[in-house]
Amino acid sequence: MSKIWVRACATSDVDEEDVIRFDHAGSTYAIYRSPDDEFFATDGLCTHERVHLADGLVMDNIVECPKHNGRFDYRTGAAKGAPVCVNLRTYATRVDGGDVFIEIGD
Amino acid sequence: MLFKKVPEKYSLSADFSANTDLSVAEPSGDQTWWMPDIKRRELKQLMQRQDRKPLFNYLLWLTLLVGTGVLAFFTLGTWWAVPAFLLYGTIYSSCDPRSHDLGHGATFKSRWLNAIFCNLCLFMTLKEPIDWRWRHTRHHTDTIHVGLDPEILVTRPADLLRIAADFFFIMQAKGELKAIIPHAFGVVTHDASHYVPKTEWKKMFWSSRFYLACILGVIAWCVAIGSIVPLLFIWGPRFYANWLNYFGFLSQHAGLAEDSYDHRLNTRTFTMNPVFEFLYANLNYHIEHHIYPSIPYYNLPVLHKMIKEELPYTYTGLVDVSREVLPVLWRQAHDPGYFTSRTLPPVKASRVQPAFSAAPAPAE
Ligand code: FES
Repeated sequence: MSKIWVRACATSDVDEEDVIRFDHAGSTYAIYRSPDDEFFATDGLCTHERVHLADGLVMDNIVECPKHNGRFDYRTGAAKGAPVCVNLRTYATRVDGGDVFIEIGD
Repeated sequence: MLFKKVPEKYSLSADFSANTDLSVAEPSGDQTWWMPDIKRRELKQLMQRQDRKPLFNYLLWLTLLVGTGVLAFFTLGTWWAVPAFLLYGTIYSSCDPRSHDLGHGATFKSRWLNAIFCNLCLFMTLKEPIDWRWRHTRHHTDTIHVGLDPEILVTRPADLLRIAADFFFIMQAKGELKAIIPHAFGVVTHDASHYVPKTEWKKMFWSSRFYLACILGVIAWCVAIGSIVPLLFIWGPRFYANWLNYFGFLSQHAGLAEDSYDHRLNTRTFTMNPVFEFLYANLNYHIEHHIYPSIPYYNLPVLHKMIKEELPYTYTGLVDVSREVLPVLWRQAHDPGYFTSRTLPPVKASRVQPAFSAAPAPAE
């Protein structure tokens, strides 16, 4: 599958310094809005035990998983220490006319 | 043997971590845990951390600890030492419940403050941080699930002698030392091999060596001066003044349903007076803590008020909760199938959120 841009949500759907869940074609993603009003996207499930990160807490550039408080930098997907040891996959985003798009596919 | 052997079914049977080097990464299959009906905005608010409130709390605790420690020291050699050390030890033992919230990283906004106090509290309560962190992670995934949760305090049939021994922290300390000693020599225990990923082993070995060296150091100090006074101040309090934690920890899960996916059925919340809640770091709001470990201890009472209608009866103190727990454990000693079945309020607007399952239908 080649890469495609998919509309994930409206910009107003995500509060500043927050995250929402976006499901598409059997996969789940997390869409973040940073305190600087930038949008980012990662896989939606924590790499530790597959819990939805959209239920977690966003603090600056970090998302904290709601289950065991593992932390990721959602801009790079980097795992920031136990119990998360595997990085998150990230996706390119763009904002167009009040909508947020993410680039998915191989 | 003095204590009954823990039935085989309670020993960990499945590797457990999605962190690549443990083979099975299916902690709870597609099961979902019960979640209360609470709005995302409110939840976010409750999850916010700060530094001021917990710092004040922790500085007060440390001040009380030093103050009562000095008092205890000056009573040595008199009968006043008994109440003085009981007071010091009770304040000291607060380190254990405090380490829970800190271990989740939920107490302070600043990570470094959290790390300092977490390591201090774990050290004071003789819990090696790496092993404990992974073990506790597992407890939160599969709370009181047989063969999956390594922190089941009372297994069935209940061993009353074992339970009584823990009034003096004996079984817990034994469990910690049984991990620290082999880990210090580079040997991974059976349990830890199931929940600590290999990438963390080296760190765990060095941390255990540090703990063992400190323990031997304090023992050597006692031998050198021919007195147990150093042990009365460090670690000793966990043994001689464990009473509050003992009833607190026993009340959290003991005697309740095993293998349930509803924290209201396998966990208890009980209120206490402000002094006890200060010492117990609000861990008595235990259902709330398990549902949302991201919520700092100082916001748990607020959460409790918000979801109270969806919870079963909240016990009103240690006596109230112990009146249920102790007879159940007595009965479980002879009737391993027995447990307390909690009455849930009628379903209101509660909802169930998928916790471990992949996303269902697309929501485009
Ligand atoms: S599931 Fe995310 S930290 Fe464990």
